[in-house]
Amino acid sequence: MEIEIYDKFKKIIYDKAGINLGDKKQALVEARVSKRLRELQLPDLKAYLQFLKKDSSEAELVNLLDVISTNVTSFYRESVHFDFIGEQMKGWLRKGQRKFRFWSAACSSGEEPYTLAVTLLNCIENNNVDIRILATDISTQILQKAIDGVYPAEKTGAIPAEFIDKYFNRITINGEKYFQVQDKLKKLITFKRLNLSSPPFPMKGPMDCIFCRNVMIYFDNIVRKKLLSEVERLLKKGGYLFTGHAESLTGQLCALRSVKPSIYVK
Amino acid sequence: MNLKLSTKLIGSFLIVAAITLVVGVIGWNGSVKLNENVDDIGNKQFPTVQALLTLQQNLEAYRVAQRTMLNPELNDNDRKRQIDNFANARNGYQEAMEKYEKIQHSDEMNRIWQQFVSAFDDWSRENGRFENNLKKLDETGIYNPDRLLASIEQFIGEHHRLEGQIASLIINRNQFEGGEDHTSCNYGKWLSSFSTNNRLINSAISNSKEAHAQFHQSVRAIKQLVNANNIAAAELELRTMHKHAEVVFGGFNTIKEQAAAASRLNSEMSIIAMDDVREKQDVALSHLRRLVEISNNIANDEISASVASANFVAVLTIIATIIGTLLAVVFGIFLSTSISKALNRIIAGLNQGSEQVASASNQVSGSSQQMAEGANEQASSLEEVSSSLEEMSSMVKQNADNAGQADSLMGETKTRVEKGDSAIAKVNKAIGEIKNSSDHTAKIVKTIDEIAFQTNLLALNAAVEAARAGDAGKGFAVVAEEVRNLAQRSAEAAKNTAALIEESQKNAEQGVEVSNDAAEAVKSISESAMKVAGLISEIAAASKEQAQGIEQINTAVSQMDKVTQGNAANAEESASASEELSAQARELKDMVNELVKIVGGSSSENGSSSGYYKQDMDNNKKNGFINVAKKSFSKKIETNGKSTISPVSPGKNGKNDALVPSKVIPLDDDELSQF
Repeated sequence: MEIEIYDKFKKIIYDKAGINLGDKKQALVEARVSKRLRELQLPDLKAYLQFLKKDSSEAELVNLLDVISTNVTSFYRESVHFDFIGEQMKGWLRKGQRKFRFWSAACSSGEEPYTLAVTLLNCIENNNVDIRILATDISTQILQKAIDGVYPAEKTGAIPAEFIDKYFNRITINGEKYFQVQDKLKKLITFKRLNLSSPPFPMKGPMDCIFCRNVMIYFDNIVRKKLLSEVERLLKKGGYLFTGHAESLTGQLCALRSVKPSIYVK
Repeated sequence: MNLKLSTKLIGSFLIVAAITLVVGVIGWNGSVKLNENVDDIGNKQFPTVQALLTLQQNLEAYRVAQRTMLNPELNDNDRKRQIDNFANARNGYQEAMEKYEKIQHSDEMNRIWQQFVSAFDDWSRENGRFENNLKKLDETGIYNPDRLLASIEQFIGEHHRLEGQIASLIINRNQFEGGEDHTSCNYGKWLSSFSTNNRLINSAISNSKEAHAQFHQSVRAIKQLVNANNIAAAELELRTMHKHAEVVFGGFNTIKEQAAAASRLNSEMSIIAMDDVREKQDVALSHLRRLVEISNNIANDEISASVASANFVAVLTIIATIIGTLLAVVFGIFLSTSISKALNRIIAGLNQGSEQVASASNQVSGSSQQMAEGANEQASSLEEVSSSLEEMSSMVKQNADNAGQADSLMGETKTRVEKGDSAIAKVNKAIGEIKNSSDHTAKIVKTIDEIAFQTNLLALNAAVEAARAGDAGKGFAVVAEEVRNLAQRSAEAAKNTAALIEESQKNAEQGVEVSNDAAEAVKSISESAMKVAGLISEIAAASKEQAQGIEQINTAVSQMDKVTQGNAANAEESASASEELSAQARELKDMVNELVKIVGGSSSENGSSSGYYKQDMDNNKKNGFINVAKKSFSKKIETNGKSTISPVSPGKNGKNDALVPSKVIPLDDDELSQF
């Protein structure tokens, strides 16, 4: 891959999604954009860049960001976070809080918000609680997956068996077994496309918890700083931010305090 | 027979061609033979017969003309026609002979022809005689000598009677009618109409013509003389009449002689024509007939030979055709069955194979889709690991940097602690000095206190004095008051300062103690700092090593990332390729079905491609899984064969059913603002 072409891709992706690819991701770009080449029947990356330039609707840009964004997630990923939230939730409920707002900033294919929803529902005892989860991602395709909420059986292993039966339907497609999220989970969650690199965001807050896990690893410090200031704005006093374990706010001048590794409080 | 299809086909067609060739050669051979016979008949025997018949006909025609010529009643035109006929017949038979001689004949025929030719020569000779006589007859100009002779005899008689009547008249006075006009006598009348090319006759007539006229004039003169009774004169005249009569009779005799000669010629010709010519002609004609017969026989022989050979050829052709047809049919059937048997076997194999390929490729397509998805997932995970590692790497680097910085800071700290130690000693000393100074200061403060007391007294006095001075001392009173205030404040300050100094002194004493403590502390700090410095430099070294380690891991992971991304892309490509393969396998199956239809005449449709899913789905139903037929995400699944395994796959959005992202996830911010 020619370095000029790679640089062009790098610039577009950084400008539009804040994703900092660095200098070594030629293979990644080539591999992921090749899907688009195949679908558009374009001969090479150069042609794709031209196509991208001509596409004034920016639909292809969305497609590009869809393929270039990395979507790694699983049910109960970093289960410590969910245990922690469960504890906090119970505490808040005891203090009489009834309205709860959560934000899964990079929800990927939905495992994170659904795990969160399961965790939250498991804490409440009656229905007079207003729980809403906002789940956002930059990739429309992955969001569609999240909205569909259908997962191959082998990916649901981390979900406790009692919750499987409670919140999922078993279905078969082409002989493969799948679990489909039930509406009682879905109705808690609003899925929206959001570009985390372009704050300010339309949300007003305050949020009780924000999940922003394994996102900032793709951003450079400039984007990270802007994102964190938005997180800070949206979190309520005493609200929590969850980050990935490789992500540290150390060195970031902000009002968030570390509670535990990768858990911060405002 | 393990032959190539083309060999079989070409061989069979060659055999059929060879059969056709044999049949054709037989037919051709027969037709050539027939052609020879027909050629012989048409170009040899038929012309021969034709020539012979023409010859015969012309000979006959000649003879007919000859016989016709014998007819004395012929007029000149008929005669001329007969002469033409002679010429025609002569030309005819000569031509025919030439024609005949041009044709090759058998020895027998040649021999007979020679005989004919000699007979013909004889005949021709007789004809020459006849024609000679005819020429002579022409010279006489008398073609009907008998009639001429009869006429002449009549004339002679009439004139003799007239002489007799004249004599009777003269002697007996017997009157009679006529005889006076030479033109009204029969001879006179004949003369007026008679003409000939016979010289002798013409001269005889012209010699006797005058005498004849005189003769009849003498008759008239005698009649008149008798009537006038002039007998003497009459008798005289009678003598003249006799003279004339002799001349006339002389002419008659000449004519008679000519007529007799002509008559002789005539009879001679008649003999020639009726006997000699006929005899010779019969001989010649018999030869001709023989020739015709032989020729006819030859022609007949050839015809029967032709018919026989035609029949033979016909039979042979029929047999060859039947054999050829049978062989062709047999070979055709053999070939067709051998080919179609092989084809059927192949098609059965193909059918089975294509079904297997279709199902296998379906499976491959499915599993490669799964693989692609797995690879993609793996790639994504690795990408996250890679990104996380990079993040960690930078963190560790930062740690190392910080530790290094701390290490160097600790070095500084050590010297600073030492400096602090000496500073503390200096402080100790300074404190001692401070204590001394404080003692001095306490004395000075006491002095100041006394001064203040005195100043107060003075100010009091001044105030009293000012009051006495009245209005004039008013200003001074204010000043005195102020001075008093100052004196009081000074006393207070001095008192405070004394207390402070006292405290200072105490503090200084304490300070000495503290600074001694501090010196101790600094000493222990110095020791700790030394330890911390050691630890930090260890941390710094460890962090550096860690950073290097992570860097290596990072390199390895990014290498892995590269490969995995490539694998993911390849997997995806092979997934779409296998999908394509699956589609092609189905197409192949369709084509094989078509082939089956063409070869077998009926299709053997079994095992549709959707069957596999059905089965699976049925199985799953038993396991408590609900089949999903129609879901927003399962658009692809409905098209079964082309399904992508992933239910939530964004789909193949080339240009057709292009997935517009904004349609999937509305990009408005309304709902976001509710959070």
